[in-house]
Amino acid sequence: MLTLFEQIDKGTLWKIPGGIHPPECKTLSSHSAIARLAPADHYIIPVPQAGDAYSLTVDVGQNVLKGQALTHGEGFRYLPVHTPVSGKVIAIEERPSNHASGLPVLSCVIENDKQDTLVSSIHPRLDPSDVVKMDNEAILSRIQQAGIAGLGGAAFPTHIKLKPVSEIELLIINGVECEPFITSDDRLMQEHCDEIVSGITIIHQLLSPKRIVIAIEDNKPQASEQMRHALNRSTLPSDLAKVTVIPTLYPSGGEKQLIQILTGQEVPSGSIPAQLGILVQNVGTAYAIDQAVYCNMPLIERVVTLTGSHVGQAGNYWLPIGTPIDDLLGKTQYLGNDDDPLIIGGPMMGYMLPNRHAPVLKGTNCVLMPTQQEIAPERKEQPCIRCGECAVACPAQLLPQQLFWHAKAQEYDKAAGYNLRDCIECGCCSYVCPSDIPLVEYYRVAKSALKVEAEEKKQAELAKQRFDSRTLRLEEEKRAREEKAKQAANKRKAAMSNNDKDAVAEAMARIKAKKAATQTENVSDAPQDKVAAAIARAKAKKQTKTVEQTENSVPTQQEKVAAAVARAKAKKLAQSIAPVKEPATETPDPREEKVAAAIARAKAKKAQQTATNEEPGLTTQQEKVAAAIARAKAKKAAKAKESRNSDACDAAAPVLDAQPETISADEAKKAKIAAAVAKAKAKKRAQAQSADADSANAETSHTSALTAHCATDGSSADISLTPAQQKQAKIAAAVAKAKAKKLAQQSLTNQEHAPTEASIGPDSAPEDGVTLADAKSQKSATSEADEAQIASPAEIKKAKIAAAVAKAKAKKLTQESMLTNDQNKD
Amino acid sequence: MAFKLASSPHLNTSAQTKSVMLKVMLCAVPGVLAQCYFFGWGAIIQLMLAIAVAMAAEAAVLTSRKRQVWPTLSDNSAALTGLLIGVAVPALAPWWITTIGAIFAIVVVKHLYGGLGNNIFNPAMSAYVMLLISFPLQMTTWVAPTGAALNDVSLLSSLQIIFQGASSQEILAYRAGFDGVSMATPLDAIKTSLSTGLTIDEALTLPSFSDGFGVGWAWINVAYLLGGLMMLKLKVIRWHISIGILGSLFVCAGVGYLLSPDTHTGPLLHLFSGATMLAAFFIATDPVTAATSPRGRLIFGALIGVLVYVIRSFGGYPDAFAFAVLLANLCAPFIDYYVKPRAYGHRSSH
Amino acid sequence: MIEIFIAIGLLSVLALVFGALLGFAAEKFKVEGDPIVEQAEALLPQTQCGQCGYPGCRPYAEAIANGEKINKCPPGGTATMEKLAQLMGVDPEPLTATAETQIKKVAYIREDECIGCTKCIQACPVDAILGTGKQMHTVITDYCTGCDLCVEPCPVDCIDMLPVGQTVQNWNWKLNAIPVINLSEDAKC
Repeated sequence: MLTLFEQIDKGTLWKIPGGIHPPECKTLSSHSAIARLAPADHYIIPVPQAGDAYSLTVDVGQNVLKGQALTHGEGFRYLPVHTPVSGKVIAIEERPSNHASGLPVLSCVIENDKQDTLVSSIHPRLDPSDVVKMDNEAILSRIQQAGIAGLGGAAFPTHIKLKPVSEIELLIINGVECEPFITSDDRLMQEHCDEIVSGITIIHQLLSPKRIVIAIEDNKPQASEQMRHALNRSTLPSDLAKVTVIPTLYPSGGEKQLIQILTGQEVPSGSIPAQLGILVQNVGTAYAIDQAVYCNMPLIERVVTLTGSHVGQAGNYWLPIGTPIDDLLGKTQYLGNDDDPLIIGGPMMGYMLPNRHAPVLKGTNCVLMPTQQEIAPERKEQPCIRCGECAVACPAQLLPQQLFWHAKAQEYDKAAGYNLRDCIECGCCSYVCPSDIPLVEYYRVAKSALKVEAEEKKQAELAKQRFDSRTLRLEEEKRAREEKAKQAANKRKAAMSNNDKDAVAEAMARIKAKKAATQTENVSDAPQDKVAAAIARAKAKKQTKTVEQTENSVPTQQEKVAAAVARAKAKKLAQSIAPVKEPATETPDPREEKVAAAIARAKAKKAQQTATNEEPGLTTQQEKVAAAIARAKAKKAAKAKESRNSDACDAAAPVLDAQPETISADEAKKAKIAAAVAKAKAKKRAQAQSADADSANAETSHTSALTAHCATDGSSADISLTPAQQKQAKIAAAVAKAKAKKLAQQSLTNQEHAPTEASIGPDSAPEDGVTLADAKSQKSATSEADEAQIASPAEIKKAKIAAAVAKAKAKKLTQESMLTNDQNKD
Repeated sequence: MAFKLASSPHLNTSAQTKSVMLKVMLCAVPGVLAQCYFFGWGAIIQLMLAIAVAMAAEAAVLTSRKRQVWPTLSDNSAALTGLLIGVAVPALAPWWITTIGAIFAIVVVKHLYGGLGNNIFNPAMSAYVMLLISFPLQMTTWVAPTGAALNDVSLLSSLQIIFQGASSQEILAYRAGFDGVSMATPLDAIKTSLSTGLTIDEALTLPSFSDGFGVGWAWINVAYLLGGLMMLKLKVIRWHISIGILGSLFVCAGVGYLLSPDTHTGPLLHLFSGATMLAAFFIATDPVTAATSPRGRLIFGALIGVLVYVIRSFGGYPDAFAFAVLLANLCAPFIDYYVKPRAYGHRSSH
Repeated sequence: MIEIFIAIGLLSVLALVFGALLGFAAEKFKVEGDPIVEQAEALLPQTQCGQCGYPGCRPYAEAIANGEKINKCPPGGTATMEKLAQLMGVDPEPLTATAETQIKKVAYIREDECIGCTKCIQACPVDAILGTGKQMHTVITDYCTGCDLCVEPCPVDCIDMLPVGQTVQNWNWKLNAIPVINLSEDAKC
């Protein structure tokens, strides 16, 4: 029994099961030397994990140098991305990816300045003696910083592979290239064998394996010849490294299959070759390692085979990573049409590119541009006759027909039972299938479904854990709270025995307050309109306050109770009024709103002094003008607003005192939310209102006087509520949305029944759309009508300035009113 | 997207179901010719009739199932089923025997189970068994092979017999090539002889065994063997099932012969008489109803061989391939379940 | 005549013996707990969303074990329903939810609109929302089960349920997801 190494030295090869011999078609591209294409204008570098695994180091507009890293990250798994040319970052945005799905991924777009200015860290080639002196950390860090990923196609970070947990005894350099059409590794081995071997030497220095095998298929005699010579020239001991020529068979270039051919061992399912002490690296990767370690040159270009009968200049090219595919087509005399397929990778495992703007990636070894004759015609899937050819061809010794059967029936767990995850997607089964079944596609769908399922299971497990821990926590909190409450109660009990008088007084006060409140509410219910309600409520508040004052024994507590009661009521009222208001918030666009706001604000300013002078008729006209200027389009909507404004005087106070939220409502947000819902209704109503407006105007002098009175009264309530403003505003808005429709209709009918007062009700609603801007000053905004003239020019800028001024004023005003409030309370 | 995205691989062999089926039919040509030679025009008439009826039935069912007719019909599977029924029924059986058989095979056995690829039982053999059980007289009345028959049957009279029916005297006359034994096949003859207390050696002296294997039948088997080898060469079938059948049949027969040469026929007679070669290469290899893995197929074939031997030697029917194949069909999913190949990277085989 | 009585007697004795045996076995090999509940719960997606009408996945699993319908879990979708049907040995039924609600979604808080009320945090059954009073909240997407429970309590309606987008990582390999319709072929049929 020979040991494995003896057998390797002897050149023993094992046979893999299955495999196929597809037409090679390699001569299309294998004869010419690796060339270069004229540089592209733009390069697209995908950075899909930016912000997640690493951060971008560049910004749009920044100049970058060739080889400069675009990302920065920490951690062992991090792999940087570099720019392949010097130039400017012109965009960081989602671009179609070079992936079978073509889904867009975040990418940096670099505009090429065609200077090719190298970044300073890249240096001329070092002497081998310098590299020998480097320690492993330095080499690994160079490889990592160069962003080297496996160039065979899978693009797994190389530095991770080069730092295995277990000892590597056998290093396999994969130069098999078993896919038809592709010749990039073949040409690279022929032209850059010395660099490849020096890369292998570096890996040897890192891992010191006992044997190194360079595996090359027997259809590449020149390449194996060149590699042999390069090995002889190198410093590697001759008994350590050898070139092994293996028979041509697809898919012997697969990592697992290659290991089986060279060692007869199988990589256990679900683990990696390192477990067997074997490491497989692609020749292209060895070359990139050489470049990274000797020149500190990052991986910014690779050899790509452009082949197929649709390309005029088939061959191998050094392509900067990030080169858009469509750019290549133009420069290599593409003969096909736009709807001819492009295949990234070989015909067996490659995928059709959905979008030609996608860039070349690190793992892109071939762009195949086939004619219809070169690839399988699109054939209709026929029923499986279970001929078993697929099972014979399968190199993983699976039963593809069973997998297919279950995958098609979406019994994915059963498919998993037939070792679906060991499928390497080599495509041998589909290749031999007489029924033209796209087996691999079924497996991929099944695999991704299984992945999703596993993910969901994990998610569910996590959710359950979190749910359980939350329930536990809540229970604990509850227990703690109860404990605390109990303690507090005990304490209070102890204290209570002394002064239960206080408690009695407190209770009495509460009852009285309630009574008073309900009484006033009963009164206010009768007229059933908002203004009256507001007035009544304001009065009620006053009453409660007087009640409080009579109950001087417990002043502070009493006050709090009253405040709470008032607040609760206000909330209630807010909710009932809000719906009415909602329709009004329809303000079709924020600009108009701003104008209106400015008007209102300006009005408010003057109103402080001249609260009684009002010319409602004028206001409406003025408003019309203003609105027309601001938004000539929405005349109808503007009308709604005028009527709103005309009524603003009367309604302002009630609205204000009922709903401090109007203060904050000047945020366009709210308007936005409600706008859509209310617009339609409001328009309709606005027309009805404009009719009413005239009659309403007649009454305004009366009502305004009333409301002015209310306002002063209400100020106390309104201020007390201000802390709750924002939140409530939003609550109101949310609640209002649902009710808006209904109420709008109601208010319409209300209007007709009680033209004078009811018209105020619904119109108070418009109020928040307009006066919302600075409802803080609304207390005085009751009689500002004439001020509209000031703002009527209604330029947005001006309005904005006015808004700023008004805001400042408003602040002041609130403070003032707070003061008065305090005084009131006292 | 202007073009349809296809999943890899983007290459395919030219092999397609229809070409596979066509090759199978072409490889059956030598055997069919031999049957024609020995049984007269009747064989070819039955063949044509069966193929025509099978394809018509297939078309009718596809239409009623609202499937596209031509793509499925052109996969030649119905034609192959028809061919197998055609060669299985006696050459001068009435036309309705063949018709019923072909319709049963296509409609009941194939399409009621879901069409091509979904049937559990081999359609041709199911139809044969159905006919054998339902119409035993017509199905066992084989015309005497020409080599032994006194009066050759012309094309016209064959047609007449098949389509218009023939009096039993006529048929008796046609197969009265040898001493009026009302048995058609050599295996039948042996069975009858054995049941009358003769030894194998004595039975083989009967006129129908004038060439040692039963007149004509051996040649027909040789012809089918030739076709089978052609299929192997063309890689239309894999060797596992055929070798499994022939091997196990040979071994069983050999053992039996060694133990009791008087009551058991020799292995060579087993291999070259009855439907052995036809079944081993053309019938049992139907992939739809067979086991799928190579090892499973070997077992599947061996099972058929054993069953054939058992039924031939101890059962009531002279030839047993139809029953053996159907029984093995039943076992195929079971075999598949337990005979999974060890997938790459899996050490233990479970 | 006597034979009949012997037969009857014998059979009665046999019935008694076996009945006793069965009873003994039922006691002796009694299964503690109700494993079917565990199994059903394992199948449920653990969103704890309450869309089934039960306050969480476990209560629903218990209800299923007691004969509740299996088609009330919209987050689980048809797949879960089928597995439950298999587990319970009943026929699969179409889901009560529409297809739209079966798309996996996660909550997303429009952060500039959030007022920091903590209401959604209290509603979240899996503690997937981060934030504190008066501070803007955010959803930890990885933990979010898309149960919808936080949407209702939000006073400012700033929580959206956004469908989980398809990325290169979770792409399902359904090439040609938009079916290509061959008109000429259709015309033929």
